[in-house]
Amino acid sequence: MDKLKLENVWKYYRGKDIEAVKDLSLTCEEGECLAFLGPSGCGKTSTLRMIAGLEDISEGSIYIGKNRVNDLPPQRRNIAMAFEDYALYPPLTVFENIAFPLQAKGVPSKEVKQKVRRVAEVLRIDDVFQKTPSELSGGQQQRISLARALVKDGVELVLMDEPISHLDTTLKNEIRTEIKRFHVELGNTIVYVTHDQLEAMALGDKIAVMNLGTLQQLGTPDELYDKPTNLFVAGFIGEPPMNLVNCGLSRENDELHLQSACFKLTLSTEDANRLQGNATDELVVGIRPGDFELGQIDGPEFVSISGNVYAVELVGDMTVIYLKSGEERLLLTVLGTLDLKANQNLVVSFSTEYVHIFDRKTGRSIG
Amino acid sequence: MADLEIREVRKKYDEVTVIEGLNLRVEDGELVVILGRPGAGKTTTLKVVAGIEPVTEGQVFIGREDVTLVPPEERDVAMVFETYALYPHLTIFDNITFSFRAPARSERVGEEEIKKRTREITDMLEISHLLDRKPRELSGGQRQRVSLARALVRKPRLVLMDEPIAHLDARLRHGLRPDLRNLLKERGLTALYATTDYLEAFGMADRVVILSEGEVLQIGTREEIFGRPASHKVGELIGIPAMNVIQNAKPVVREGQMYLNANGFQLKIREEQRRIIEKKALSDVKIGIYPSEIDIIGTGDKRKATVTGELYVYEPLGAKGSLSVKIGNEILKVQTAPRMRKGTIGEKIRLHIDPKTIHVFDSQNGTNILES
Repeated sequence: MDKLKLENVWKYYRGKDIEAVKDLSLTCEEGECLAFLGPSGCGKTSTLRMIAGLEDISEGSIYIGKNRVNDLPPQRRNIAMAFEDYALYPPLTVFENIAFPLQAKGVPSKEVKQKVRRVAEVLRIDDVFQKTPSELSGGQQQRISLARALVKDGVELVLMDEPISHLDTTLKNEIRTEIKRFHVELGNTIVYVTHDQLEAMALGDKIAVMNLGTLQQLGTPDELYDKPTNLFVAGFIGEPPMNLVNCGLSRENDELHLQSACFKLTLSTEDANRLQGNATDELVVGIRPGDFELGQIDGPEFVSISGNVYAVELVGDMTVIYLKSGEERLLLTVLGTLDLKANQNLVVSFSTEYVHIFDRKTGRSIG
Repeated sequence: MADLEIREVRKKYDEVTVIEGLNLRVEDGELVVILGRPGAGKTTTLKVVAGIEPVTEGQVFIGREDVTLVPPEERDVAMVFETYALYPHLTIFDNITFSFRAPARSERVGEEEIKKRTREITDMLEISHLLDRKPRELSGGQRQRVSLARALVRKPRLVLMDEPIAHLDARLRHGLRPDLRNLLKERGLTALYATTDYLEAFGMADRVVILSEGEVLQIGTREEIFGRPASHKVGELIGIPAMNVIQNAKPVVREGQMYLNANGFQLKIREEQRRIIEKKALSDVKIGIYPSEIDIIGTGDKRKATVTGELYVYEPLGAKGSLSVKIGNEILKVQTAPRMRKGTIGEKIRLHIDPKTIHVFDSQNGTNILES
């Protein structure tokens, strides 16, 4: 069942001058975590604020559960919120802040204590129970807001806007794991906003990638990583980022080739057929840094590139290799530490199975 | 070009100590990166070296000369800070070449040479087409690259960089890293560079300084720091996911072998670690294991499990995944290969942990027991 449905939703500011969200339609099913991901200004926060009822919906409809909520105030939408501006009650202690939504619903005090304690422990804020929000750091306040949203039960949706952005990396990663565990355990439906692709990948059952107000792709983490629908998604997901190499199309005998400055790739009949329907021959080939192998590999599905190593970085259990081949620069990652010298020659190969092809003009994926 | 020495430097703001007894040498032509969280004291260290902030105690030497009391404009130091202070009324070209025209300890450089060097560095930073524009016409990323160009176009005695590429997008950041390093090396520049990103730190540096709460935890090469983190705090700052740290492990001897008894499981340790635990009579230690050094035992794998737990959470992270495994009351993070099956919560997971990969830390002060 859909817990959230957006139908042709638009958000304008300053009359119609600024289109912050453009014709957005999507659904989120019960028990799913839907992550909105994109750079600042992409429309993700405006979308969340419309779902929450903190902003008007300029055009279109939003449904929560079975209800169209366009005209309902936030308190009648049956949602929990953990937002960046916290909205904690200043005179109440941390415990009281988290317990408030439960007490307001008449949950017995023993159960309230139990629930608050559990969530506070995993979010590492049980040691500040008796303090008031003003005595706490930004990161602690964020976690209280998060705890309050997580314990509130009987809600249709939990909305979270960058709830762990103010934490240091170690704590952020721990809390991220705990949010996911809570989500899986409780089966609550979460809408989560972040600019951090790792956070979105780790948490989202589905991710909506946004840019300039427009939905770029809606998919599972694996779909976004393995089948990005356009150049924006290809470049935004994954770090180090995907290599993008300009290519032209050439025909020899009966075969179609992708020709770049550093390799020539023979297309399978299937890909060739698909590409022939495409009007342009200005293409971009995308290869993930981890999809290269060292050395020459023979076989019809492999392509080899010879280049010059212009930098090597050994980081932890991984070697990052920067390769220059003709005018192209490629970035490769290989597990393990390799003894490579700058300026040495290196041959690497990749399988056409892991190659992404895009139309250079429209940016769209074509195979 | 010169070496840098920071000797017993302490910096206090009012009653708050931001840097505590800092000692650091950067050799001539060396690139040293300070890695630490926000608030660790990285920026303050750079400001003290630049002379923007006076030291509370201690001395700073540049090229063997005590500059502790020398004003910033006479130190001949180039700086790239997170906020790029460009002159709004000057063109990009004039901004970049400004220091040639108002030099502190000037190298005499002719117009042709200035143009050539500017061209070289702006080509590398992909801003050559912007030279006639004014700063306000540029994006934040472009302005940051202009400030990099301005710092590196000259040959100052020392280059200081404070998270110079942190705000650029991933593509540009990865593109610039090797270029920046190559440029510093080609020019033989001495540089001190601060970042919160461990990949950037270890990828670029000759040596890394791990700074935490104003104190140096460790200085060393990649091998030294990864191979033997000086304290559990160092381990927690490096790696994605970061090092697993298990608290309150108790040493026990069984069949002539020493094990560390954690909450619900035991891990065998090495002889050299055992000797120190016995010598110091430690009864309580912390265990550190990198997520990338734990193996999941698959079906058909004959190895014996070191520990068995259940799947707590799986987080896909693109090129790799992070599997959290719950063992007793502990959660161990394990790095997995990409496109791993997701598994189900509660599923039994068997792990193999090689004693070679186990680090042991003193519970009292957090230091690696093999140090000292």
